[in-house]
Amino acid sequence: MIQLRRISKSYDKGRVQAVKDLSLEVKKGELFGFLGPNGAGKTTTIKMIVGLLRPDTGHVVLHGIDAQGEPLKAKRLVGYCPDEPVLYERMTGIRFLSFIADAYGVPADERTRRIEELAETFELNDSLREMVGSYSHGTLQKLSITAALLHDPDILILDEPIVGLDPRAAYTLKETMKSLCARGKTVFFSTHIMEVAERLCDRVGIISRGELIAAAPLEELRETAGERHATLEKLFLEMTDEDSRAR
Amino acid sequence: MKTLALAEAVIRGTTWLTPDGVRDLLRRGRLLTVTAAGLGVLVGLAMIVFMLVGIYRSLLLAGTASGHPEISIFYGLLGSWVFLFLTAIPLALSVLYYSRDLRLLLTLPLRPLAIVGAKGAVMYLTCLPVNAVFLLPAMCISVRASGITASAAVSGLAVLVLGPALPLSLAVLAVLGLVKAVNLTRYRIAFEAVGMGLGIVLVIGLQAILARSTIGLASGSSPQALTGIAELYTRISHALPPAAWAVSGFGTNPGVFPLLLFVSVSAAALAAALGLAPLHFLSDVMERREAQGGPGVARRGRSGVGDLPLHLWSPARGILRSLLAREWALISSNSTFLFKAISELLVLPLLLGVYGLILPRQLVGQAMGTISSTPMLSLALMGVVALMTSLTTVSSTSLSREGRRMSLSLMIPVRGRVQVWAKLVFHLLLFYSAYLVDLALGWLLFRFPPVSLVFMLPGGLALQAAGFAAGIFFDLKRPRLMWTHPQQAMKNNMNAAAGIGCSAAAILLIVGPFVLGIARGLNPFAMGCAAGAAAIVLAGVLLPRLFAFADRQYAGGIEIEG
Repeated sequence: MIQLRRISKSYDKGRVQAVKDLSLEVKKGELFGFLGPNGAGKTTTIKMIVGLLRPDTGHVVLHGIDAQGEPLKAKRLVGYCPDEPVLYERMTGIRFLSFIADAYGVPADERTRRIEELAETFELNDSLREMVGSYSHGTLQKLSITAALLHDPDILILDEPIVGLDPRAAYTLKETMKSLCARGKTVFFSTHIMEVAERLCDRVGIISRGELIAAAPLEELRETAGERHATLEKLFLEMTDEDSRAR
Repeated sequence: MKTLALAEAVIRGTTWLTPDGVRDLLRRGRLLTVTAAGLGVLVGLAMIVFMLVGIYRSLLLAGTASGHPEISIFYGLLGSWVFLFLTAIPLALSVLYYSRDLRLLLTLPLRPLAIVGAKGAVMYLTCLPVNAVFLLPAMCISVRASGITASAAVSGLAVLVLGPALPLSLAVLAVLGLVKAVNLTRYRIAFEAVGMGLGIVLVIGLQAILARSTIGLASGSSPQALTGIAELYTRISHALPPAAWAVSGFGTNPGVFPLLLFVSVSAAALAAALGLAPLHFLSDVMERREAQGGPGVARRGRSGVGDLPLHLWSPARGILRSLLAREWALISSNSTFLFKAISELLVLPLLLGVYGLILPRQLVGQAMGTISSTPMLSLALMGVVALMTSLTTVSSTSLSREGRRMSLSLMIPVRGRVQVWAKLVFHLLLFYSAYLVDLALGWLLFRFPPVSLVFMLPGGLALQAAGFAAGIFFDLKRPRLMWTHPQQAMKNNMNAAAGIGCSAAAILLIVGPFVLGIARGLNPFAMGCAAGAAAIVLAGVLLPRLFAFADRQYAGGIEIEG
């Protein structure tokens, strides 16, 4: 479970308020889509969840563990795939995965099984012996996703995971996310692709100018808007437009 | 027009040398850092100019006596050409074939000539100040000695402005040939290593000329030295007429014709490079990009090692070994990092070699005799070698070097102390090994008592650990992670200077008082042991604090923005 308790974050000595007083709860087994226009605060929120940024105020609690108070315990629970993969280009893919497995303490026999399984799933077998520096963007993304899944995390956080993936890999990832949730894991991902969020998510959250303006299942969003057949795209545009006008 | 606009865009887009760039630095509070770094560059420049002035003075004396007052400017121009040619090869490779903006430029409706022209203009502007550094001191000395004439002024202006044309054009043509002949993606680091090696040879050569000419003149053997220099000048100027034409305005027989020849040759060289480079530019860049393409395109279906079972490729190695492999992967990810580390590892043997080459053998023998007979030899040697092997940017920029990849280090559930411990072990593997090699070299040269190893071995280890703890502190506190060019992470990083300063201070504070103790007549071995013990105590005090600080920093103290 992910609990964000009134978290805020500003940049540039407080001049830019990236996230304002954001509270949210994502339950165990839930697939949560995090939407918002560019610069709305999605990546900042995600970075606070995974511990790359410290909230100025508020708390991030993962499975009951305060991420600031016990960062190591919290990190063990999380698998994270950033929007732009940052990997060690002078390692081979397999060496990189081995490093990640060592970092998470994945036992030797289990790591080989997991790597084989995930490499098969994401069609990485041919690439793993090559230097990461020679990978295409899509292959880097697949390796980054594989690394995030390697220790079978309880919470999977993905920032724009579909971007750069070929249709087969995108389909595989979506199926993987669903199956993880079916096994009781929590998946939190950001995306700009409304169709993906609409089809995949149990619940979506919409952030605009650093504030969470909605967090509900799609049906509930439609009811609130009074448009029973509206697409998520339409609802998103209306809500973010309204929010912009209100300020 | 497009070429000029493109050149301006490249400068605006990749440097801060514009009003907007300076405003941005001010806004981010980085002006002070850049100013400090600029001061560092100025100090380095001052040292080079000081060395050049020494050489030019000697050459001017020799030239005036042999009827060639232009000799110092000739050698200045020659030095500039050699240096520019050597440095322009990696520069042209990097700017023409490896720059990141090519991804954008290749998609724009620009003719190859516009792209090559714009990049050529940027390279030319980069070479101009270097050329001036070589030539201005020689010109100032010449003008001071014999006044300024109209021909000297015109000639001076021409070599200052057109000086880089010939070496830069030749470098571009050499690169065009290399791109055709060799797989550069594969051998790029080798090329850069050769360039760097030749650069070092050039600097050593200049040092040797300075030392030998200064010593030669001071010892009264100037007539022979003068004849040799004048003969060499005659031979080189015959073999390299453009250089002789360029400096003819400073000579005893100036004329317009030689200068016109120099201007024509420079223009022709530029035209040749600009004319030939665009012919194959697009296809060469495309080929290089394809050669770098992902395995999904080029290497699918490869057999051999690829058939080995995965568990042989991904053995569990334990977190420390994995982190050490990570450190190596980081440092070898870029030739800038790698060469900096290698040069820092080899600094002491290199210095000894250079001084061995440039100083007269008799003087070296005397110095070695004096050093060997001093009672403080072992302790001083321990301090000097520990100091030389601690004056390194490898550890003091260890976190900065990770750049955006630092997010991985912060993400993994590994305590800060474990990650910094791995960095310490990596540091010791590199630099304690160098310390041992340098000690062996020291023993060969000075024959210190072997019993001194009792304190030299543990003392050096402790001094390096203490130096590491002091040196990495700044980088751990505020790493410079958002760099766009590798130089910014290591060479132009203020954490490096601060870290080196602290390491040096820690080592001097430990060793200094005990060296003074020996100077006052105390037992050298006892003082050495005491210094070793003090070093161990200092390391014992600093390291636990460093590890506690690392835990805090990796648990939220370091943030990745952007």
